[in-house]
Order: sequence, then structure tokens, then C-alpha cells
Amino acid sequence: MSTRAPRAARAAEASGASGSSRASGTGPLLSLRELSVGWSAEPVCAPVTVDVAPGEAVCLVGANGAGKSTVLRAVAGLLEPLAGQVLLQGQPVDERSASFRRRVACVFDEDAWFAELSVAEHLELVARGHGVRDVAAVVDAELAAQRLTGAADQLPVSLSSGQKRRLLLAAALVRPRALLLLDEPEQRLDPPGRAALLERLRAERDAGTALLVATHDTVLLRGLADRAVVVDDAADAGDGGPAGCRVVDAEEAARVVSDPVA
Amino acid sequence: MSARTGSATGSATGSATGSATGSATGSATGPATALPGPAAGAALPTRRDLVREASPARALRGLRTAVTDMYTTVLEVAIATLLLLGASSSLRQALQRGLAEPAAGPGPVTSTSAVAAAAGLAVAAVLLLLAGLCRLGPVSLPAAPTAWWTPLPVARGALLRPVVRRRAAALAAAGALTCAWAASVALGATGTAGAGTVVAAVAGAAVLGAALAAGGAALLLPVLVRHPARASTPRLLRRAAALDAAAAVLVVLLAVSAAAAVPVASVPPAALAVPAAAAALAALVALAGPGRRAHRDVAGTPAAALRRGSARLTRLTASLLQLDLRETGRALAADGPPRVRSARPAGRRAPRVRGPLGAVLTADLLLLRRQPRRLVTAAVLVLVPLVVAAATSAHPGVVALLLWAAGYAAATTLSEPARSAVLVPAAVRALPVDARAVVLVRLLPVAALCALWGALAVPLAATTSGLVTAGGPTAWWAWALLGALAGPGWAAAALRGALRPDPDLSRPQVVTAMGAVPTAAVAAVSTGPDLAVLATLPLLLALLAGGAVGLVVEGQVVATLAAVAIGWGYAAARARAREPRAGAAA
Repeated sequence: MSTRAPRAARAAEASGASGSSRASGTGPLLSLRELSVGWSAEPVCAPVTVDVAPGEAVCLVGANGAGKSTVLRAVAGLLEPLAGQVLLQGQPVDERSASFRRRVACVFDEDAWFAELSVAEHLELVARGHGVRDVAAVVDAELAAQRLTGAADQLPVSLSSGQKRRLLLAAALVRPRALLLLDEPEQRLDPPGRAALLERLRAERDAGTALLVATHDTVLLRGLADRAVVVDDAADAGDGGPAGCRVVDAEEAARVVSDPVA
Repeated sequence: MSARTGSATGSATGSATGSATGSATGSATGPATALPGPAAGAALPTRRDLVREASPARALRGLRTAVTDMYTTVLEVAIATLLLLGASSSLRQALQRGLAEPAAGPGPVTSTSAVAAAAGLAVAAVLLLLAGLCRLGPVSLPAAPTAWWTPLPVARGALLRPVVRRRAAALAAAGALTCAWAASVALGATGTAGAGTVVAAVAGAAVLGAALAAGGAALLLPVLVRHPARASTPRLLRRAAALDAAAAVLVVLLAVSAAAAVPVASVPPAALAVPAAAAALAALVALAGPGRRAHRDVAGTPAAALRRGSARLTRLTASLLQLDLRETGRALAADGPPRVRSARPAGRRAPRVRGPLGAVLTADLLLLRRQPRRLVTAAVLVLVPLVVAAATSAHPGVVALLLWAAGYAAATTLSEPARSAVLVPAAVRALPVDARAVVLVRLLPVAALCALWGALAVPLAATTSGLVTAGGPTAWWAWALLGALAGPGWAAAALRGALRPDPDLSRPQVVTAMGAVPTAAVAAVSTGPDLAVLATLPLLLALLAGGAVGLVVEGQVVATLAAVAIGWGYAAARARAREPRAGAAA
């Protein structure tokens, strides 16, 4: 955690007009308050309470079916919570608003590209839509970083599953963002791709972006997470005190990932 | 399970080669290879064994169920036939009234042969039917048999040949019915042909339709059988596009004949006898040659092609059962294997746009530019009401109905960006734009195109229907204005239809004398067309009244504004709707 102070300082500088920064003392960028999500009236996991500051990476860990993606979709405003709150800079999230979409970039396990546009065209339009300057250079750099330069003129539907995942990451990274929500970004990536992903996300974090990442990858977890939320079944969480998902450090989270039933 | 045939050795060989034609009985040679797993050493079952295992499940249905099924089927077919006959009778009477009062006024087009128009439109319908067959795959199975049979090392010929025969027979029947129905309406409307002539013409039309459909299927089947799946699919899709184009050319030719003012009675029914006989002969040759050979070799159909056809068939069947015509269109319009390269030349950039709304608009326009068939379809739909009106001087009611349906169909095909965005909502979520603004941006280009469509289609159809007369109340430009004003209303209705939710089939059905009516499916199907009715009400009333009167233009403005407001409001609410309190757990 030696990078904490300079990272926070960069975050304060990066947040600029948005005015959100742990360093500036105005509170976290993202706050989950007793957030409960689930099927109909049935929660899939214990309530989640955690803050994510600019320049901080928080991971969600847990077994398959624990509810990590469900929590993440609620944070992204795609799913109505059962209870609790999701606050972005102190305001309830509204995914449908332009301001939310301007600040938050998401990568979920779903297609997210315009029909009939090539890989490069999609990235260019996303970048132009966000007012990026020198779009060509930014897109070319991102294509190279994601090893998609050779596929720039292909339609996304013709890509392999790993390439599609890299395109989704590229679309999230080719535009400005204050918060990155990633649902198992390491999925379907080859080992070099996973290593590059880790480096890229660390750079994002160090540049002041807040990250909330659901993952099963212990290398990503240890290399990236400042803290982690262990997403558990609600029935297992109650021990006399208020039920809630635990917030642990990266090492403890890695142990949970390695042996989720322990 | 019988162990009469095959052996462990044989099964190993059959599995290893994956031969489509390899059967358990024919694979008893080859090197001995030990197979792991619980079936190691066991003989493979024959097809007869597998069918025998499955047959008790069928027998459990019982006599009562079989009788009930048969009764229901017969009743439904009888009701459908009566409805068709009733509609045909009404259509004939309307056309007869139109012919009794031919157009008297000036106009760019006046008339064309009813017989030629009926034959042309019917043949175009059969061509579209064959194009649908290409997209489905000439041979395919439902999902369960495909998943069950294709991995098994048994011969597929006995399984697929009945499918080929049934599908060819069904196509022939559909083609015959289409052409015979068109002939009966056209000849009945003229009222001049004797009963013998009508019967002969209807029978000839049926032969023509059946020959075209069955012969076409016989020519398409070898494409699937003779090539690997990766090669047959693009070939079939190219043929589908060619058949679509041929149908469009037919409609255009009929419109040209109207523009040339071909007299209504210039083509007697007997004139079609030679083409019908030639088509029947060609169909026989196709069936006896390529069709017969493909029928013999159908066992070699690649499993990948069967799986592709199965997926398409399942999607199509499910959409029809749910009355989800939006999904039906997607199932038939899907382009098979994706193109590796886009239409974009390498190195060229996306158009320079400013802001997120510009990005959305650009993405939509690029989609329409790269799917030109949508623009062609809309253009052809301009001509369909014109052709029918020109062929028969049709009753204004018929023209109004045709115009309304063609306008909604054109708006629907032009609304493909909104329809595809429903499947990939995350694409727009990546842009910093409010969901309400997105739907408005999506509406604008479609509204403009539909205004152009209405400004062309409405005056053409009105003129050929005799609604534009020298001393009549409405000039052609007034009809053009009405059509242009109605266009955005059609677009708003199509947007509403594009963003409607999937039908909730758990809702209760309403029992009627004609059977149970699934309210949710009916509600889903009518979402979109309902707004199209509201949006075009003044235009339709003007058509039925024989001319625009009084405040109809102002009424059309109000109706269109109301439709746009409703359509936008509905689409914005749908676009802003979040998932319910449910979701897939991680």
C-alpha cells in the first residue's frame, strides 16, 4: 500500500470538477449502505455495506451463486435493490441519467456493441460520444493494448469469446470514467491477457479511478484489491450481530476464494 | 437394450470418425480401441432399438387424447378456412364495386390487368416462401431430435428423408393455396369469367403454385446436402437474397405495367396456361433430377447445418406460438454465420460526430446503410397498394387497409436500430446520454423516412383508386401531404412495437367459442399496431370517404402529434425500466 498517498493525491486531482475524493474529505465516490439484492423478496446474500474512494479498488468475492454479479448489477443501477442504498457521490444512482453514464463504466458478461459496426468503429463512436479528443490515437492505443489491432475491422460477433471480453474492456477504458464496475473481467482471457489486465487495472487505480470488481482470480485479487467484500449467503452471516457481508483484506479474500466453504 | 449388432470395436470406429452415415451395424471393422466410460464394451443400439424405447411414451397418450387432438385440429382448420372464405368473399365484393366504378380522373397511373397482378403477387409470395425455406435450411429437425440424434453414430437417412418429403409437400400445398386463392379473388372480382373458366384458372393457379414451391425446394435441397455447413449456409443465404430480389422485381414490374396503363382485361386467364404448364414441367424435371438425388443423399447433411436449422426452427416456432411477430422477423432475418469483415474499408474511421446523441444517430444510420434490404423492402411496399389498386380500381376500404398495413410494415423494417437495441441495451448505456433522449433520436430518422414513404405511397394508391378526380375534393398533393403527415405516426407506432415487452404467457386465457385466446400474446401483438391505427385515423377516414374533407389535414397533424407523444413516452418509459427485483445470481 505504499502508493496510497500519491494515489489519493492523484485521485483528488483527477476528480476535478466532480469534487469527489477521499483526499478532499468530501467522502467516498461510491457507498453501499445495507444493500440487499435478490430474487423477488428473497435476498441472495447478506446486506453489503462498503465505501469505495477514488483511487481505491474493492473486490467482491464469494462462491458461485453467492450473489456477486447481482450486487454489481444493483450498483450499476440495472437491478432494483430489495433494501438499502447505492450512493454515487452521496446521491442515489440512476443508471438512466446521462451524468451517471458519464462517470461509470461497466463491464458485464453481456454483449454491449452496436449492430453492424466494426470493432474500431464501435470504440470510436463510444469515445466521440464521451467527447474524447484525438479519438483515432486513443482508439488505436487501446486496440493495441487489448491486442485487437488485427481485428479492428471485424464485426464483434465474429470475435472469439476472449476477444469479445477484451473489446468490452476496451470500450470501458477508451472513455473517461470515475468508477469502473467489472464483473469477473478475467473470464475467458488467456494468461498474458490476465497479466495485462492486472497491470491495466492497477494503473487505473493509481490514476484515481475507483474500482469495484467481482472476481475469482486470486492473482488479480492480491495484486489489485485494497479491500474485499466476502459475499455470503444471508443465512450464514448472522451470528447474533447484525447480518452483513464481511469486509476483509486482500489476503483473507484470497483465502476465501481458494476455499469458499472453509 | 438389444445387443444384436455392433460391438465395442465398432462403436469406437463410429465415434472416432463421426461419420454421418456410419451406423452401428456398419462399423464393425477397424482397430480395437478401448473406450472409457460406463458404455465401454456395450454394443451400440440401432435406430430401431431407440425408437422402440421411445414409443411407449407416445402410447401413453391414449385414445382419448388422440381423438381430442384430432377434433381440435379439424375444428381449427375448419374455422380458419371459413374465415379465409369469408374474407375472400368480402374482398371480391369490394373489388367488384371498384371495377364497377372505374377511375375517372387524371393521374400518373390508371390501371393494369387484374389477372397479371394476382398472378404476379402470388408468385412473389411463393418466392418469399422459398426464401424463408433457405433461411430455415431445406432440412432441419426440432431441437430435441437434433440434440439426441446427431451425436449418435446411426444413419440419418431414415430420419431426414421423411422430413424432406413432408416439407416439400407442405411447401407445395402452401404455394398451391396462395396462388389458387389469388386467382379466385381476381377472377371472381371481374365477374365476367364463366364458372368453368374460374375453376380451370383456379386449378391451374394451384398447379403453378405447387410446382414453383416444390420445384424450388428440389433445387435448394442439394445446396445443403452437397456442401459442408460453412459453405452451404452462405450459399443458401445468397439464394434467399436472390429470391427476395426476384419477388421485389415482380412487384416493380407490376407497378410499371400500371404506369403504362395496361387495360384491366388485357390478360385473359388462359394466357397464364402456358407459363403454368412450363413451370409444372420444370418442377417435374427438378424433382426427378436434383431433388431425387438430394433426397437419396440427404443422410450426408452435415450435423452443423442440422443444428443451425434446428436453432432457427426452434426460434421461429416459439415466436409463432407466442404470437411474437417481432421475434419471428428476427428469426427469419438473422444472417447466419457472421461476416468476418465489415463493409468498412480497412483503415477508414467512423464518421466524425459530436456528442453522444450524434453517436447514437450515426450508429443507427450506419446500420440502415449496411442493411440495404430494409430500404428496398420499404420501397417495394410503396408499390404494393398501388399495384392492387391499379389492377382492380379497388374499393377505398381495401386500399385503406393495404396502405395502413404497408405503412406499418415499412416503419417496422426501418426501425431495425431500435429493435436491435432491445437485444443489446448495454451498447447505449456506454454513452453519457439520457435514456429518454435516445429514443427520441432513434425516432427522428425513421419519422423522416416514413414521411417520405407516406408522401409517395398515399397519392399513388389514391390516384389509382380513382380518388383523385378532375372535379374531386382532393388533389394528389393533398394526399401526399396527408401521407407525409401520417409518416411520423407510423414511425412512433413502430417504435412502440419495437420496445414492447415480451408477452407474459402466465396471464390467464379468455375462453371463447373459437377456443382459448391468450390475452398476453394478443396484447403484445397489438402493441404498436394500435398506435398506428390512432396515428392514421384521419388519413384512413379520408380514404374511406373518398376524399379529404374539412379539417382532415389539421386532424392528421393532431393525430400524428398525439401518436408521437404516446410512442415517445412509451418508449422512454420502457427504456428507463430497470430489471425487476430478480436477477441471475453470480
